Parts: sequence; structure tokens; C-alpha cells
Amino acid sequence: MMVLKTPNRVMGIIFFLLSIAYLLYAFNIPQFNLTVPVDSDLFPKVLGFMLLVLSFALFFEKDRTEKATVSLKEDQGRPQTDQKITESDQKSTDSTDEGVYQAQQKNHIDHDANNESISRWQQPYMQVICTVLFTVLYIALFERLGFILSTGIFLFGTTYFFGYRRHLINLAVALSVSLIFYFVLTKALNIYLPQGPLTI
Amino acid sequence: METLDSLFYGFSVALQWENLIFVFIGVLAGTIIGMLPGLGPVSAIAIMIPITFGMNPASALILMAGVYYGAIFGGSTSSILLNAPGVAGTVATSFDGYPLAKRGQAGKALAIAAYSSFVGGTVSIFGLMLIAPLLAKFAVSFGPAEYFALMVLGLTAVVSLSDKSLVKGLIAAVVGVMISIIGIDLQTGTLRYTFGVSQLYEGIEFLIVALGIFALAEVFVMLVNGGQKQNQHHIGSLKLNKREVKEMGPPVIRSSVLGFFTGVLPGAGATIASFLGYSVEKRIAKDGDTFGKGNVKGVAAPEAANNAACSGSFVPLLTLGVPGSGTTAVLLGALLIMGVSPGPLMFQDRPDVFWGVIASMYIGNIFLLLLNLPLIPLFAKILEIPRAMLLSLIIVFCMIGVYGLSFSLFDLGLLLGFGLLGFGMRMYGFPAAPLILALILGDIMEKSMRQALQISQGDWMVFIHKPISVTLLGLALLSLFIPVINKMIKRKQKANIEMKA
Repeated sequence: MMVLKTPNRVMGIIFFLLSIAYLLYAFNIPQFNLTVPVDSDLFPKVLGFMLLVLSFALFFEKDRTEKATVSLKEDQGRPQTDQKITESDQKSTDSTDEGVYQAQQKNHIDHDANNESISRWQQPYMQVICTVLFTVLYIALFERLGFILSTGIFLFGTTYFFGYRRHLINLAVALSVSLIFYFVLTKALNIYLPQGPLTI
Repeated sequence: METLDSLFYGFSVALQWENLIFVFIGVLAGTIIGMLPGLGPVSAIAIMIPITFGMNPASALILMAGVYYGAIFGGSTSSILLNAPGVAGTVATSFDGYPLAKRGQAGKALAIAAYSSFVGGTVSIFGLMLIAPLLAKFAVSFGPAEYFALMVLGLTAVVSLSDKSLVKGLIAAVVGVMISIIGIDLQTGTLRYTFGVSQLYEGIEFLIVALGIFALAEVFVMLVNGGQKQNQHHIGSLKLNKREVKEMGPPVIRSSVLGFFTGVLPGAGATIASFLGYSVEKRIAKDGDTFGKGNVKGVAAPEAANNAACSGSFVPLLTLGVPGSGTTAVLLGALLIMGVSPGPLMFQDRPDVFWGVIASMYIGNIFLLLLNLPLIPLFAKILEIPRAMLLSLIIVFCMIGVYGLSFSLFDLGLLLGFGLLGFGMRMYGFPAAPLILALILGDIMEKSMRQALQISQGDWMVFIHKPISVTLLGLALLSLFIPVINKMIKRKQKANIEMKA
């Protein structure tokens, strides 16, 4: 697997496959029944072709050791943390759960080597995966439990999970935030939020 | 005279009590959100969008603009106190701001930042007021071909000026356009890339993508990076002495002008402006060697420049309807949701929006100054909010924003998907700004291209025959070579240094 040595190569291949799939769809876009100079399929074809070319370019591009950035870019910025993402992290190929998971596995080993006191749940990638799962749950229960309950539980739960240990304050914040939001949005801004079993 | 009359009209809009409240809310929310490390103006605006539902366009834009320059204003606080810039545009501020804070003069640095931001903001609103009407008159003659070329230029400029790889920037832009054309093709009614999912017929709402790729992705990035607890420094006195005020004057004015023009250019935003301002002053200054060790000019210059650039970036947005940066793209998206499309026509048809916003910016900047000076110690407390709680709150903000827009759980799922996409992009060095810009411009680009070809009866030469369009396209091509040329220059310099050695 020498070809897959660098993340850019892996991503190049992924984008190559994506562009092929995209183009296949583009060539199947039905024709409009009147003659127009540009039909619906032209733009997608051009885009797909561009992505195809770019995926080759990415495949052959040298990897720079990217740094994770802490602050959001407005337009662009300089990386601001010194935390380099190591090769092993970079091996994960995409932003799907699976990719993150593989990276987490590798990370797991790195971390254990460095710091055995970190519990399994506090590994960065584990935290990301759990956060994603919590959010999925939150979405699933959002309408069923109603806004106040689901948001309150979610806020309290995730804050606790991220390591905040002052439960009373946590509870107070979770409750007040979900209640204040509910009333401001529904009463002042007339935005509908699901009530759930609570009838206020 | 005409401008003055219009400005008075603008103030009559901006001084309505509700708009005063909106400006106040905007700058306050912007300051607070911008201050939090990691949440920049894009997230700030995206989070505030749901609040603008049902507002009239002038008020909504007044609020949004306030959030934008408020965020740039607030970003300097965490740059100085924590050395963790809240906004990319304030990175340069930390070079000298943080050393000042370490010496116990944080208050001084914060005060300098506030004054400089105020001057930078105000000077450039003046510029905006003078230049925008001229540009709008000029842009009235733009046809679809010119618009298409202009948008191509906007996109390539944003790609080429991001300091990440050019190829990755272009991929981000192409993917952005791909997302934008999902749904029913408005010209022919053909379904594209909907895969039979009815929720996709209307296309993907840009707010979902903006919140996902910026705010939600930021949560994941913060989780992976882990938070280092930083020690805050004692703030100390906010007073400046006469010598310092004198010293600051010229750099602030210079950087304001420089920042304004940088902001007007497509692709260059507050970040580039602040670095430019910083490096220019460092070159000019007699005591340039003390830059980076806590020189007041090193705080004043970037702060004046980034706020000036922020107001400057409203020039292309308001007069052409083409955003030149990720942040203004999100602003444009917010306006489009409300059914307002900025451009030369809006300038004629909705002077209340145009002049109201300009007048409100003057007011907003004064508010920021009044807010920031006495409240600096209080704002510094916000930085102590526990990270765990902040992360949870950001997720909930994103969810509410999306749900309030569409009331659909499907969209919440999409939001999570885009959050993960944004996380992946951040981890592998794909810039987010081109994607969001392309997402907003994609539809309009395709529409202009088709209209242009409709007019020319399918003759592709239409883009080349028109002088303005061909110039813009030429510039777009040129901008893609900037990174390449830069690399060559750097290599040459390196070679020269090695030769000397």
C-alpha cells in the first residue's frame, strides 16, 4: 500500500471516485424538451470534470504538515496552535464516523503511550464520536420530548461529559438556558418549537 | 451634497428606536461571540440569523452588520488577554498585545485596541459612503456576463488568498458550487442530485451549511485540540498617556486607509488587512525592532486595519451584491433569505437599507467604544466561561438556528453531517471560506451564465467580447497564479540567503 502513504493521496483517490460518480449522474440528467443554449446538465458536467482534474492535482501534491487551528478563519488565518496533527492521525481519510474512528484507534495507542491516566472516554476522538452520538439522540428526541426537556437534558449531559463537575451550576444553566430560549423564541419571536409532553 | 442628504436620510432610519436597539444588540452579541476563542464573525452571524426572521430588511442588515464589526472588535480582547485570538482578523493584535498584557498593561492594550478599532471603523465607513454610490452607478450597466465574471473573480480571489493549498481551496470551491445546485433547476424544472429525497427539492439552505461547517465543526476541533486553561492577566489601568496617543495617531490613520482598500478587494478580508497594517508599520517605525515585545503601535495598526477592512468589505456586498469573503457571503445569504438581493438595484430601490446600514455603522462604532471601555473588566469575565459548557451551548445554538428556519429534523441531521464535513476539512487543511462563498454564489453564477448565453444565442464568446467581463476573468486567472508566484519569490529569497551564507 505504498500508494496510500499520504493523506493527500488517499483524499485524491476519494475525490476522484466522487467526481466519477458525480459525472455519471450529470450525464443522466434528463434533457429539457425545448432547446436552450445551456441545459441543466452543463454546469454539473463542468463541475464534475473540474473535480476530476483537481483530484489528480491533489494526488500529486506534496503534503504539508498541517496544523490544527484553534480560531475560526474569517477569510483565512495563520494556524495558531502548536499542536501538529501527527501522521497517524492524518491517516484517517475522511470526516465520516468511520474515518474518525480509525484515527481514534490510532490515537488511542498514541495517547496511551503518552498518558495512561487519561480515561478512555476522555480521548479526543472518542469525545468527538460520543458528541456526534449525543447529537443524533438529541435530534431523535427533539420533537418527541419537546424542546425544553431535550435541550435541558442534552445541555446537562454533554457539559457533564466534557468534564464539568459542578452539577448544581450545570443544572441551573441547562434549565435556565432551555427555558429562556423557549420563551423568547416562541413568545417574542413567534418561532415554533416542539412542546412535547410538557404543556406550559 | 447628494451624499449628505442621503446620509441624513440614513440616520433617520438608523435612529428609529427599534433600529437603535438592533444596532446595540448586534454589537453586543458580536463582541461577546467574537471574544470567545474559536467563534468568529461567520459563526456569530449564522447564530444570529434566526433572530432576524420576520424583521424588515433594513433592521436585519443593521443587526447583522453590527454583529460583524462587533465580532472583529471583540476578537482583540482574547488576543490580548489570552494570546488566543477569538477571530482570525485579530491574530496580528496578539503579537504586541499579549506581551503588553504580560507586563501587566493589558488594560492599556485593550484601550488602544478599542480606540484604534473605533477610528479604523469610522474612517472606512466614510470611505464606504463615498465609494459605494460611485461603484453602484458604474455597476448598473453590468449585464449577466459581467456578473458571471465578477463572481468567478470573487471565488478565485478567496481561494488564492487563503494560506492553504491552492488545490484544496479550489476543491472546496467546486464542492461548494456542487452543493448549491442541488434541488430543482429553476430555469428548466429539472431535478438535480436530489436522489429522490423530497427534502432536497428546495436545495440545501445555506444557513445549515454555514452553521455546520463553521460553528459545529469548531466544537469538534476544540474537542480534539483539548483546551489549555490559560491564565488571565491582571487588566490594570485603561489610561493612555499623551505620548502614546501621539505615537498611535499616524499608524492608526495609515492602517485605516490601507485596511479599507484591502477590505474592498475581493478575497482579502480583515485578516490580511491586519497583517498588512502590522508589517507596514513595523517597516516604517523607527523602533521597529521593539515590535513583538509590546509596542503600542503593534496593537494600534492591526486593530485599525481589521475594523477598516470589515467596513470596506461592505462595498462590494452592497453595491454589486457579490461578497468578497466568507463572512460577507453569510451576510448575503441572510439577506437572500429575507428576499433582499443587494446590488446596484437595491441601491436605487431600497435606499433605506443602504443608507440606513451606513448610518447605523457610525452609531454602532460609537456604541462599541462606549461599551468596551467601561466594560472591559466585565467582558474579561466572559472568557472564564467553562469550556465544557461553552461547547454544549454552541451545539444547541446551531440546532435552534436550523430548526427555527425549517422546522425539520431532516435539516438537523444535515447540520450534523456538515459539522462533520467541516471538521474533516479543518483536520486536513481545506479552507472553509471558498466553500461557503461558492455555495452562495453557485446558483447565481449558473443563472448569470445562462442568461448571458441566452442573450448571445449560445455564443460563448460573449464573456470575451465584453471589456469588463474579460478584464475580470483575466484578473481571476491571474489571482490563481499569485500563490505560485509567491512560492517562486520565496524560493529565490531562500536561495539568495543561502548564497550569502
